[in-house]
Amino acid sequence: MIEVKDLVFEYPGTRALNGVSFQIKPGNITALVGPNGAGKTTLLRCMAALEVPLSGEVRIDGENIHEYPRACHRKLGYLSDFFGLYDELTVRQCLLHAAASHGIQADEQLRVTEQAAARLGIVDRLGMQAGELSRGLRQRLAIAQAVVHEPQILMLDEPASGLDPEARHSLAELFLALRDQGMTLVVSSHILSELDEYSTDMLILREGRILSHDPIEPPAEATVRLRVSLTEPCRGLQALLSGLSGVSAVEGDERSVVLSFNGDAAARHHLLKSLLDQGLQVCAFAEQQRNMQSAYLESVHGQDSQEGVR
Amino acid sequence: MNINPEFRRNLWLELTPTRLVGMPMILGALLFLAYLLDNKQYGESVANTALILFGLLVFLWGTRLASEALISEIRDHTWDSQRMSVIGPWSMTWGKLLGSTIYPWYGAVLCLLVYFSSQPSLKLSLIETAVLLLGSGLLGQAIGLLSSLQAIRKNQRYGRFQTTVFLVLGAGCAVSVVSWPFAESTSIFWYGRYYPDNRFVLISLVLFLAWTIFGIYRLIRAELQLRSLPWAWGMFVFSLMIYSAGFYGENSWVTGLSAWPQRLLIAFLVALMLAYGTVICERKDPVTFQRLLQYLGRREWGRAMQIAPLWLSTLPFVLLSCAVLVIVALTSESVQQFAVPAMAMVLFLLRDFGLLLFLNLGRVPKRADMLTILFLVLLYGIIPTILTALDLSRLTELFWPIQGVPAYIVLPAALFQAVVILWLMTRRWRKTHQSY
Repeated sequence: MIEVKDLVFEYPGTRALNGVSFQIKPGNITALVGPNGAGKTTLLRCMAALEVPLSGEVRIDGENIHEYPRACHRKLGYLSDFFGLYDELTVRQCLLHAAASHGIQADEQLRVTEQAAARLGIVDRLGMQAGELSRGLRQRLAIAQAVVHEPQILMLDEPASGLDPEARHSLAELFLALRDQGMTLVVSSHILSELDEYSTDMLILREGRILSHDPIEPPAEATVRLRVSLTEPCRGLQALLSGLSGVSAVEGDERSVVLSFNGDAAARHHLLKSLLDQGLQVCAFAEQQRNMQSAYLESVHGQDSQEGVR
Repeated sequence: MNINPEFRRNLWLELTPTRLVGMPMILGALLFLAYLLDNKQYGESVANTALILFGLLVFLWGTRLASEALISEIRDHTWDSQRMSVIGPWSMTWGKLLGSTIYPWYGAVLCLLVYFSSQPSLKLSLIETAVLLLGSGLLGQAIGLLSSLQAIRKNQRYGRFQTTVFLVLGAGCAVSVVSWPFAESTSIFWYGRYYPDNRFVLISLVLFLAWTIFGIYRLIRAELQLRSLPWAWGMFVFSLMIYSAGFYGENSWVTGLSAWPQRLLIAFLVALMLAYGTVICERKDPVTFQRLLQYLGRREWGRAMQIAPLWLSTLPFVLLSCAVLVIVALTSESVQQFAVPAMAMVLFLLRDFGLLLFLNLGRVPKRADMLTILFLVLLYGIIPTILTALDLSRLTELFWPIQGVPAYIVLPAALFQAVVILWLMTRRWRKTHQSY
């Protein structure tokens, strides 16, 4: 669906993207994450043919977007981080304009407008001026404009910034609904908690390079992440734990560690018991959910330690 | 029916019921006042008031709105969604040009109707007057939109001051065109013949209006990421060279000398001015040059021409017209004295462009163009003046491509300066390129 190959983009004096390559399959919701200045917005803008890269290519359904921008734009919806609306137009006019701008025939425009408004839950606001809407509703209207022509791919740059928790949650539900309707989504954000609810893949970008691009898979049922904390520091804690049956990937310090443990509830009980038997003053022993935050940090730390080894 | 989406959006924004009622009420009140002040006569005074109101609406307000049409889209962050739309470049051009100014035009057409019905006698025919007024208004607005579009392509941050500059540029051009046929009638000499000035101005107006609108179309194409070869710019440069050269030679039948060598000189100067104009107006970031060099390195000539800056496309016209001028100078006495200054001008142009690029490749390229202009003022103005004041006027020949300077002084001096600056520029380019 989306194929990015050896993409290089430079601003005067800065290389923002450095040989970025990846593929996104149809029906995925890819979270594009990375620290501020990693190149997320530049990558999205190149993918939307709003910027021309120095080299490399972006293909949408096999078509090079920089060769055929207009044809590809029919398949794309894009919402930038600083999206704008025509504040003096009504919501209906905004959507009618978006529909006409995307080549929807005149006799179809009203239907697709109402459909997009219904999809985004703003049917009751069609008569209101865009400037009168709240932040969350403006966001919805902007997304409605981006999807009014039923694009195959929707790209969103920091879509949840400035939204309250309730609005963020409904945005997550909306993205899942759009995915279920066959859309492929690429969502950029540096707030990982908001991506947790809907992302199927995570693409980590750092200093203009791809750090990792993996599906977000739930861990195998028998394997859990456990956090073990002690009241007093214990020298050689990591080595001690690594030697126990079922324990792997121990990370932390002498007082608190996170480990992977393969075993059922009874095995977990035995692990705790053996720790106590060895005289460790355990004050916390709890399962830790593996979320995007931890997956991201693992990737970043893994890369850092590799660079350290080099 | 599929109406131009950009035009329809502007209609929604501009032609609200309140505004539709408000415009004729205000205009009606002002024209009625003129009628009362002229002893209740529906005549010249009302016509003049209508004409002034037309000018204010079209030349000032309309040009301002056209200049702001794109700047406001960028300021309000709506331009990206326009660029992502499938609206074609022609539709976008007309939608922006006519749509953003539709409200002043609404009032202007009312004023025009009053003008035609109240003016006792028209200097030009009705159709000529209508074409002149509507065409010059459209030209001013198109120049405002074109200059703002070019400025946006150079730098996306523009404020009130820049909009005012575009307004003055557009309105200035429009008023200068429209005022000509209203002044005392003369005839215009062009390529050996005299033409009635009103006809000549009208044809020129239509010609330049077409070029300006085509220029907007080409820039919008570029904004929409559509690639184009620079043939249109080449044709514009060539047509302007031909057009401008035609005004020379009114006295040639008296002197008995051919006007063609001087016409060639004018054409060369036009190309030179366009080269300087474009190099200042265009963006000069190293990334564009890097991309250009990549294409040239891969021998993708078409691609290279598509992204080549316009000043680079203008240089062949400068060099070619200079070469022809030098060849003609060898055979014609009338332009012999211009051959050396013309060659010096080309070398000084290379020096100036080198300086401009050298500064643009620096750490703070933001003010490079302004700094270059200051350097050029220094090189062409202040230093020669100081040298003259110090009774060293011979030395000014090192900085000026003036007539009568011996070739063995000015050409090596200009060449030396050009080579040094171009060497410095190349050095900085390599350094910048290596640092990425």
